[in-house]
Order: sequence, then structure tokens, then C-alpha cells
Amino acid sequence: MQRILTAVLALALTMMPERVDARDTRASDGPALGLALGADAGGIGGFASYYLRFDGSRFGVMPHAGLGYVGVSGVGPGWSVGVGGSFGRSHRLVLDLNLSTVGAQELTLYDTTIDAKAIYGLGLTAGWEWLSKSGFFMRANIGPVFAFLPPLYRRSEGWSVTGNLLSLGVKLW
Amino acid sequence: MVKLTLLCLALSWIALGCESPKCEPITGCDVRSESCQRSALKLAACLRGSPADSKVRVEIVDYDTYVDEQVRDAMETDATQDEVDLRDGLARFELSAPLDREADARRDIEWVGAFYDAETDRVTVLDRGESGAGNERGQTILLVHEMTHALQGADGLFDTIYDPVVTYDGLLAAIALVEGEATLVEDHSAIEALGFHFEESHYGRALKAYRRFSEEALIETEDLFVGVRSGIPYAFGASFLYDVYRKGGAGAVRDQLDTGLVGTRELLGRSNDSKTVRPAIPLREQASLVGSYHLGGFFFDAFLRRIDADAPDVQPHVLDDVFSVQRLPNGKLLAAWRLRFDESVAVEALEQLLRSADVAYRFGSEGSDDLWILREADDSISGDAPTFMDGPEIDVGFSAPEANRSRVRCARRAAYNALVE
Repeated sequence: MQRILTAVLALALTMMPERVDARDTRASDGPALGLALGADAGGIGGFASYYLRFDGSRFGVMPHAGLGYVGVSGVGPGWSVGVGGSFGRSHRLVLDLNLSTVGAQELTLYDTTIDAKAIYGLGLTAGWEWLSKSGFFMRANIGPVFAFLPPLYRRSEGWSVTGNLLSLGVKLW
Repeated sequence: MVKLTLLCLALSWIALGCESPKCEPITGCDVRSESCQRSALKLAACLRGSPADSKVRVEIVDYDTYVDEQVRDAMETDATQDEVDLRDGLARFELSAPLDREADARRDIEWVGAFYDAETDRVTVLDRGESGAGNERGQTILLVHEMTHALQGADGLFDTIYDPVVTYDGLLAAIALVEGEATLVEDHSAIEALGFHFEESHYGRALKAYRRFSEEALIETEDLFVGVRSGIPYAFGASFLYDVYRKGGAGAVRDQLDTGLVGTRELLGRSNDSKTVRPAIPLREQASLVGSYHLGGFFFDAFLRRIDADAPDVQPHVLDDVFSVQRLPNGKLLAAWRLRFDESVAVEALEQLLRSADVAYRFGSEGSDDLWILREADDSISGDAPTFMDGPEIDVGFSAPEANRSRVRCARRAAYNALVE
């Protein structure tokens, strides 16, 4: 999955110079593809989103979905779905509500790990995004997450921190 | 009418096809609260398939205070000479330490997190001053374990299991059934409460590790005779009953508890041949028998491994044994352990291994499956061959398992450290 996303991103990057002068992607609706380390992909992976722009406004909305790899305890695939809101033109304030893989849980009995699984959580993040005229963007954000822990845990133990260390991508048009 | 019959048949078929309702996983709670205690009792009853008809009470007692009380109680009565001599005899084989009431009481409690007292129908949780969510999780699951004992008590299982016990090895097997079921229920509840499915988890793998730890602990423990109860019955009892559970569910476990076990050989899937005559005690001339124990294969295995860590695994091959302590006319003690093996054990090789220990053991044998080992006071080694003593006195010194009937204990274990990263 990562290879496919890398290839798509590389392809998109090669297309950029031709479109730079053609159109300002910051002012249009359009799909985006990216790579992320964090909540956008539910681990290390890729994501797709669609930028919706309100006419004549600096506000935008971007629903997104991602697939990633949780490199802990051999849990494997992680995922993420969510919707973000942005304010700004090149430098944007981004707020995002997402449901995603936030970690892994190991079942250890008698000092022996016999099972592991992903833990999911609902996160609300705030951060910064830079979107170039050509469509290249980078993003970092952070915020609280409520992880859905198993019954034995206190609810309060579910609160933690989530975010994207870095998301890089291209808005295709 | 035909339609109604068909409808009933269809509904019955659907009902039969449906899985039995799952037990509600327990949530982490404060064991002091009544709702927490009710939840633990209800879950234990659901998992073992029995009614939750127990009015068990739960109390929290400060650990240090409890230890002080136990030590004080232990010191109130003086040990008899026979009790002292029996322990000295076991110590000759490094199976125990000389009798020390205070040390015994402390060693007996140090691993206990909670226990159920059948006489008062009360669960006591020992508060070691730890707090926090992790401690709460551990205590919640521990409470499920103790509630299982409360339900066993309500079922009259302690009488069924402990009444027929006549040997030390039989007592270990009985404890293994009682603790094995509670451990199985406890682990089942923990796995589900941690969000995993018991049936799909690799629980057998965890039990294998538990058995290994228990055997290692048996080799390392200072006092094997006292320490054996804190690990072996739990690990091997749970493993034995888990096999039963996998074949026939909770009902089969209940049937097995009702049937009981004769000895620890059965925990290893070996049958106890009731026709086997326990080997006669090798008794020195004019010696008087202080007492004897049928210790079983776990002890002999640990005894060998304490001498040589690479010793062969003989535990399933010990058919029977008798350990005796004798008082010689000169007042000195002699300890003798006689064992009978199945045909897969090379007795000469065992003897060779024991000789390498450079300890003043003396050996004898009456056939290829028989070995007796003598240990006398170093200054009274005698070349005289012993005579043999058969008969009912073989279990002299073995006290009825009253303590186990009334108090069922449980290890404190930090086993449920599920990791959230």
C-alpha cells in the first residue's frame, strides 16, 4: 500500500511544474493524496482527502480516509477516517475530527504475549498546513484523543494525545 | 396446528443453533464496593456455569498487620518433636528448611494477594499499600478468582475434593483442582475484560510458560516443601482443567471436580494405577518411624534439578514414592526416600547423577524400577542394609488438609499488564 501511495505521490509531483502556471490549486475543490505519520493514516501510511472550498471564503472542509501500518506488536494494518476544516490560503489553521487506530494492545499472561490488537480512538486535532499554489502541502497537528480501551480499564485512562508528526501530499487539481 | 408445530420446531432449531449467551466482561472497579463484588461473583458464576448463590463478604486488610497476626498465631503453639524431626528429615534432602514457625508463616503469606475463608465465607484482600489503575485492575481480576472459591464452597466442593485425600501428593492434586478452576476462571475473565476472546486466544501457550516458571521456581525456592503450593497447583491445575474445558466446556470441568484426582500424576495425563502397591519404607533396624510422605514426581524432579539443572525429566515417570523420617536408637535422624519408576527411567543413571552431588547419600535398589536413597547424620552413616516396612503406617505424619479446606489462597500476580502504546 505504501509503495502504491509513494508511486502516486511521485507521479503527482512530476506533474506539478506543468500546472503551476495553469491554475492556483488553493482556490479550487479537488482531491489530494498524501503520506502521513500519525492519525491521518492510522499509523505510517497514506491517505486520500477531498478539499472543498467555500466560494469567496478562506474556509474549507476536507473529508479524508487513510490506511497505515501499526508497527507495534505485529498488529498490522491501521486505518483512519475523518473530516477537517481549514482557514487560510497558503498557511492554514486546520482542525480535524478523526476516528483512527491510535495504538496497539498486547495480551500478556504469565510474561507471555499471546495476542495483540489495534486500539481505536476518536481524536480532535489542531495544527498548521501549508498548501502551495501548485498543490503540494505539508501538515502537522496535535490534539486530544479518547481511545476505546477494553472494559477492565477506567474510562479516564482512555484520554491521550494524537496527531500527525508530518503529513506530506499533493492536491491533484 | 401443523404450522404451529413447524414454527416451534424451527424456533427450537434456531435456539439450539444459537450460542449460549456470553458472560458480561467485568469492568475495572473498587473491590471495596458492593457492586464490584456482585459483578465479580456474577461473572465467576457465569463462567463456571453455576448459580451465583453465595453471600460471601469481602474485607480489605493491611498486609503488614495481617502478617504480624499470622506470625503471632504461629508462634503461640510450640512445635512437637516429631514436627521438628520431619522437617529436619526433609532438610537432609534439601526439600525443606529446619522448622521455623515465623519464617514459615512469612513465606506462606508473602505471595498471597487475597484468600477465601470457607469457615467465615469471607474473602480477604491484602492491601499492600499500592494504588492506581493498575492495582485496581489486578484486584478486580483477583476478586473473580476468590469468588470462584466462594462458589466452590457453596457447591460443597471442598468436602468432595479434600475428604478423600490421604497423602501429600493427593493433597497437591486436590489443591490443583481447586486452584486450577479458579485460575482458569480468573484468566478467562481477564482475557475477556482486556477485550480479547478467550476461545481464540493462545491461552495454552501462556499456560505452558506458567508451568515452566512454576517448575523453575520450585528449583530455586528456598523451601521446596512450603513453596510447592504457590505455583505447581495453579499452573498444572489450570493446564489440566483447560484441556478438560476444551474438550467438554464448563460442564466437563465441573464433572472433573466432582470426580477428583488421586495424585499429581493425573495432572500430567498419566493414570494412577490403584493396583500399584506403594513401595515399602526402608527402615533401619531398631529405628522408629517419625513420619512419612508420599511426595510425588514434582518433588523428585525438583530434587534432581537442584543437583543438576540438566537432569532428565523424570517427573511423569515416578509411579510412586514414600519419603520417611526415622529416629535411630542413638537419637540421630535418618531420612529415606524410596521411589518406583516406569520402565523408561534408567535407575543406575539416576544413582550416578546423585552420587555426583557429593552428598552423603546411600543408595539401594530392589529391581530395575526401584531406588531408595538414605541420608543420615554425617557421623552416623551405617553400612547396615535396612529392613522394609509396609502397611498402614506409611502415611504417618501426614496431617489432614484442614488448612486447605478452610483457606484457599491465591497468588498475587502481575499477569494482566496489557500494554497500550
